[in-house]
Amino acid sequence: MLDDQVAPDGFTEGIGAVTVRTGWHDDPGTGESYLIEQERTIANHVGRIIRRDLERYVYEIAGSPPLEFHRETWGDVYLPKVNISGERGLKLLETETIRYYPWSSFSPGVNLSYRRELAGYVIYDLKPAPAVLTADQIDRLEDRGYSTTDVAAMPLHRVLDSGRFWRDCARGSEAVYETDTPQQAFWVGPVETTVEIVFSEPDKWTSYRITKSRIHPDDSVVDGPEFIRKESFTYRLPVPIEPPTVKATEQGDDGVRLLVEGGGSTISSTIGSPIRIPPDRYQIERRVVTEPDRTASADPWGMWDTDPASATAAAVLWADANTTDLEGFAADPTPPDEEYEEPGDPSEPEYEYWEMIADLPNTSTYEVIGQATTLDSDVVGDGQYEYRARALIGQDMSDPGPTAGITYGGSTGSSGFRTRTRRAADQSVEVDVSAPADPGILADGYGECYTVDLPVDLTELVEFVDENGDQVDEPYAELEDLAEELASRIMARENRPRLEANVTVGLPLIVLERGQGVVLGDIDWSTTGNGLIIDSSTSPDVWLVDGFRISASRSKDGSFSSLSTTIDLIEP
Amino acid sequence: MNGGDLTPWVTAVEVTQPRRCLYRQWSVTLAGWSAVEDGATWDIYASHDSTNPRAECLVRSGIVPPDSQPESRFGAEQMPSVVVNGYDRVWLTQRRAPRDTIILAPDSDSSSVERAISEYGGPIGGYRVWSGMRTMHLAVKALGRAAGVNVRCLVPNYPLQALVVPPTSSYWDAMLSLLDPTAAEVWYRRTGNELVIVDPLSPRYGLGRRMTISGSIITDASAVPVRRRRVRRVIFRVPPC
Repeated sequence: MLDDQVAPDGFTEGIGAVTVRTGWHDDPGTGESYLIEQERTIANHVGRIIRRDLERYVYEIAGSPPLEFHRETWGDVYLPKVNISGERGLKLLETETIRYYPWSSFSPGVNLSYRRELAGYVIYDLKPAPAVLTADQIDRLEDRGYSTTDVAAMPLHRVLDSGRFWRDCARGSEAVYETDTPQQAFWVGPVETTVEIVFSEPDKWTSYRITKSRIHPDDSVVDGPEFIRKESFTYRLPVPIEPPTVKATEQGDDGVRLLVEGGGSTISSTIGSPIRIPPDRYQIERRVVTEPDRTASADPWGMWDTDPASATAAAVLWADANTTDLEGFAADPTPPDEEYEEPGDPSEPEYEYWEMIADLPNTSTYEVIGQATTLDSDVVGDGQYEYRARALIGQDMSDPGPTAGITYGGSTGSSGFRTRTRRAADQSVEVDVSAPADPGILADGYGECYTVDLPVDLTELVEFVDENGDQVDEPYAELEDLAEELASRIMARENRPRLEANVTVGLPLIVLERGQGVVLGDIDWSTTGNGLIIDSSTSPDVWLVDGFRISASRSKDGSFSSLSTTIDLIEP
Repeated sequence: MNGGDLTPWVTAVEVTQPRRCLYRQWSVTLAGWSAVEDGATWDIYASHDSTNPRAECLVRSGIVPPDSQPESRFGAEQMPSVVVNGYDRVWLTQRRAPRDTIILAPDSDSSSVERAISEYGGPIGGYRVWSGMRTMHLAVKALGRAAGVNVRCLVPNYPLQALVVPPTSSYWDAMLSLLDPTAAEVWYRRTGNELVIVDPLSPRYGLGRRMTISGSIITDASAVPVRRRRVRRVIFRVPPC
């Protein structure tokens, strides 16, 4: 509040106390407060007020730029012939009025034009006798705004060029404090006029500021023009886009090759031929009409349910060790190895909906305006699929194009693992099982290779000649099936992320057994920020104990000094 | 050590079963100054019933391994103390190894045994043939019996060819190397001395009594997702047979 306080006048007393009083208007609608009046009072050391500034804002509507601003400055300053020693007191020294003219009444800022008038006491030196003016001097009188027709009002006693504003005198020593000095203070209004004019154009504001002084008429200043850019709009109209066509062909054992062509937008033009805009991207959608069951080897990432009855929660059947089988080991709780038929309808539900399987950029050539190809390898042999595509330009998408159907006749394993078998020179057999790209990783070629020894009896799994003596087409088929089953387990163990938790409990839990199931009850927390709330929830899922640490120690007097159990948990 | 009860001299006990380990290791701090013999067996009891302090047994016949160095210290104003570290019986079971090299053979055909020896290619020494090991499950159960545990296999089986168990490996390591292709998880149940081999694709609930831990007794909890690696390709090598 004291930032813009004027330093005490040179010949007045020092400042004892500053008081600021403000008046506010509380808008009954929005509840916001607007400053409408501010009064600053400075008192000297003995409590006498030596300076008072009163400011008032006039508003038309709360929240709009002000209409007017008024300021009065009162002070106890020596003004020759007006406020002299012996009769000194608080006098109105200057007033400032600003009248605002905004372009739009509810947006304060660069669009404010205004007119400012400053009026106050001006100290003039006096001539001993009234002057006789020449014609030239009369003209200059008119420049200063004095009337030359009314002789009585003409300032003939004053040396007009000596006029100086009271502020300049108060700081300097240009006012002589002798009552018989030929000086007098006159109220002149306006002493200074400032006008800022703002013009509005479609893309910018242009402002000029003109300052004129009555006591120094040659000191007019014109500032400008100053340009302030306006923010612009953008307009957008959606563009109708034609859909593209899709062709689906089998590509051996790798999957279905899809070729998308066409699409885009045609904009008619009054000049010349219509303009053709090719699409930026294509999106391909697929619907599975029918598909045979996927086995574990065709579904290495576990995205497809093989068994409609499979449980989502973890469940292991741990046998009671007291019941043994014929070999003396604990009885196996799984159903016996016979044919087992699921009651009800065990068939897979049909997919009704289309899902997007590819988002491709347009790789057009000179001859073709729009084209893209991709390979859909997530297919199963004897599965029937339908494909359709959409074209995209910017943010706009076309309707789906015509559908292309295909029955995939490639081998079943190609959609999941790719298995190759090789007989090495030393007669050992190598089976190489590769998984398709992990949908969770966007970069191509990421992943490790794991090698393992498999001491399998090949005579039982590999058959080159069947019972009739004919050559077998795929002698390694059984070995490859076994390898795919084992590879899917290796990948499940290595690739699947599991949550490892550590929980510390202030008790000794001594019946812990690794593998025991643990349910964590009611650990709740919540976080709020930016108007959002994140709440924890306790899931009833079971954790397994993976390890623990129990520690207990005794202090010198024999009592327990620390007792805790840290349980290492793992997701099942 | 000599059958005596050292409870009054114990100032701190810590029993840990590290993650993914089947054995437990313990550390006991005793107020005292004594020589601790290697190979001595220890029992650590614990109870949550003050009327029956020997009700539960945390570690039974745990041993101080021969290469351990029990730390003893004392200072000018400090009571002498000895820290003894040891392992429980499962640790010993995991290290039991045969006296002769074992050759697992599906039948009593001597040519397959010779082929296995030439395929192994390293020193064997004196060997014994275990015949009748037609499948991996049978071999794993036999090795487990020799190590001293009952084994229950819940993983896919495969027919086994004649195979030399490396003389440097214990029964346990041989079992795990046969189970390696199936990526099995090994869990051990102390009450029945039973080793359960679990398929990673099978769901699981947990063994024994299920415990519910209320949030009010938990003083600290943290969790981190762990993924070992991303395996994209697996190459199996089948030795010639």
